[in-house]
Amino acid sequence: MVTKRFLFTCILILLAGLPILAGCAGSSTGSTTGGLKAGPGVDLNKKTITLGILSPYSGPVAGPVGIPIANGVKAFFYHVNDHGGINGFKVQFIEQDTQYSPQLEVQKYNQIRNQVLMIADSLGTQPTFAIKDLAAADHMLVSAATLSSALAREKYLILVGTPYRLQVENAFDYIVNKLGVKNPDTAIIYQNDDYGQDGLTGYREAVSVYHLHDVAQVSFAVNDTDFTAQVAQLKASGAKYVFMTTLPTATATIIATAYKLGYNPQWILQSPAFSIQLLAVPALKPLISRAWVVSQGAAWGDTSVPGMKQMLEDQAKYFPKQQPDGYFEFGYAESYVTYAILKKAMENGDLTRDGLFRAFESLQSVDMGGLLPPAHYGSTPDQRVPTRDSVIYQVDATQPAGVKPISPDFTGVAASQSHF
Amino acid sequence: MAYFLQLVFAGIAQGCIYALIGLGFSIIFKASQVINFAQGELLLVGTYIVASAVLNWHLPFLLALPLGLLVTVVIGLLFERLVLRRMIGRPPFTILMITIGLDIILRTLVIVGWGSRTIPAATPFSVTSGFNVAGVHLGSSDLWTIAVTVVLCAALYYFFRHTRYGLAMRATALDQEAALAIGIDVRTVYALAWGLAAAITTLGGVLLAIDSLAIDPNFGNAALVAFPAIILGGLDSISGAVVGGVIIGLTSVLTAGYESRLPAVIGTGLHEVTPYLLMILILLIRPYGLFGSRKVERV
Repeated sequence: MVTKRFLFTCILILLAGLPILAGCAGSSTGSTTGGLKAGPGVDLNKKTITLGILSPYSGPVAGPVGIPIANGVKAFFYHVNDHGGINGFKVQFIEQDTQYSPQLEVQKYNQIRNQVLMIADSLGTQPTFAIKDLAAADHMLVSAATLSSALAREKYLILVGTPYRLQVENAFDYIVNKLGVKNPDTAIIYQNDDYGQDGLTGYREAVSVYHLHDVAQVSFAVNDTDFTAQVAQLKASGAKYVFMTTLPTATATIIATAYKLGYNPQWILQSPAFSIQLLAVPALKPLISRAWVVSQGAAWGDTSVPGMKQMLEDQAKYFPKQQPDGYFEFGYAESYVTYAILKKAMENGDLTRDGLFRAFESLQSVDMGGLLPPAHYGSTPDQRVPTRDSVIYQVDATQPAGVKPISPDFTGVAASQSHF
Repeated sequence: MAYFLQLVFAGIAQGCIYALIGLGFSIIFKASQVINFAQGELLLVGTYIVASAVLNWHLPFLLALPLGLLVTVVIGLLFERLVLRRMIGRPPFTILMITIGLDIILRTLVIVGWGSRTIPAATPFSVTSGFNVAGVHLGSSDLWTIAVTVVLCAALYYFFRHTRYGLAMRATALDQEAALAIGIDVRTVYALAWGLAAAITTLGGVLLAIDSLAIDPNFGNAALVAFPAIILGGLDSISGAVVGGVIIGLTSVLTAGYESRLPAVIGTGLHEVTPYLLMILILLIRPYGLFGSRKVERV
């Protein structure tokens, strides 16, 4: 007869053994064939590399951001696969719906961590932060679809693009150094979360570097629906230039409330604060058309940059229903970096996670076909900030993406000096 | 002074929105002791219907509004008839969980139907319509919000005091068994409560959307902000929902207007917590809210 003590001992042995088994699976460097070392997610016989995508496929963030970025990533690698793959290896994906929830992100990461070589797309600052320690423990590179500057401090997270903080600094460099406005009366309105704090940090650095006359720093909650108090503060402060670290719906309400109260400053929108959908709001269209957006990269359809033609062809071939969308372009551009890492690791004969990490650190520079400016990578946090430049755009309903550049691509004084 | 008065006007208008949304919660709770967590999504569906009717189907706003109200009333009635009626006598927690289920279903339907992107809201006013008095801008949408709330409160007062169904609802709220014993059709009362609550909440949502200009699937979260208003006013009190809404609206807007003058460590985001601080304070003094009825149990 099986005694309780025997049963208990068996369970203890099993529990003690599980982490060891899991650890073996997680840190396995896999097999070696033909001089190529392979890690999790690499099948040397079938010649496939499996990458993970952790993105919201449902919920409010899915449609406007999550799905277009994931489509951009997939379109890039479908093209690679159709043209022989990477040294004959085809790239495939395991996609998980995170619903933009940090908890779900961790759960989904744990589900796929032993099946993928790296994460080709993890959307959102907070979800990505939730997996950063797990990824570091697994030596897993994660390409993060967010511009939070705090990510630059994380060894295994890959940023693509200029962080929010530097976007703000470049916007004020444009006003002071390009337009020649000395000591302008400035303010910021920001949402009270990590994204807003990143914008606020950049604003405070800009105030110091450019000697701005800071007249107001106004916050609001993500769930706020009325902005009269915040706008009344901005109006009372007399700010001539107001930076907005907001999301599109709040952008619409804030600008409309200001107009209603007879306040019409120069609005400068952080890149996520603008959506082309805002131009579909009839009452808002004339009000927002004076606003600037600080972002970077080629405008959708600008075939003067070498990567645009290929991206448009791939979009038409693989995702024909995809509308012109900066987020699709971001996902596509982001994949240039993933591709460069895989290619370099393969040349080094090491497709393990550590091999990928070494390849990433040795990349130096990645050309993204002009869709985004070339990214530069190194081993310190400052070197992991891939780009520091921005373009100032004016909202323009006649353009396919709703904006047209009014400045060249430039890096301001503050952004070039900023430390991470 | 103009700055202060501008904030007071905005606070009252905002409070009226909370009051309308809060009324929806209170009417259902009063009739059936159920807290409907799908209230925000009923508002969401109604607002999207009105927006689509105006912008896509090119109906005049005055036709689109009743259409939006009708759709949410039908949803409320169907939910009451097909689901909640079968749950009579079940633990309140079970019913509460079902309303959370309805909340998720409605939000998903909105995302499936309209997508997750920001869409324009329907508005009958231009952004600047209204007039200025002593440096204070009185916007048309805010004036209409206040007027609609006042008229609706008067109508509800009359309904609950002087009409057959209003009296039936009050009797059912007091004692369901006694109401049944004197021949009141409790099922009709429940249906009426759900229909009425859905319509009033949707009206609140449409008025809120007019000011927002744009809406997205998170728009239903506005109902969460109305929650401290009804707790503060008293969950089962219609007048409590209105007074609570205006108090919360004023507190929130006035705090937001002055918080930047406080040290950053206290001031930043203070307006986000003041409604809840106020709610806790009032509940400590009056556990059933300002106008809530104290439960008396014989032991």
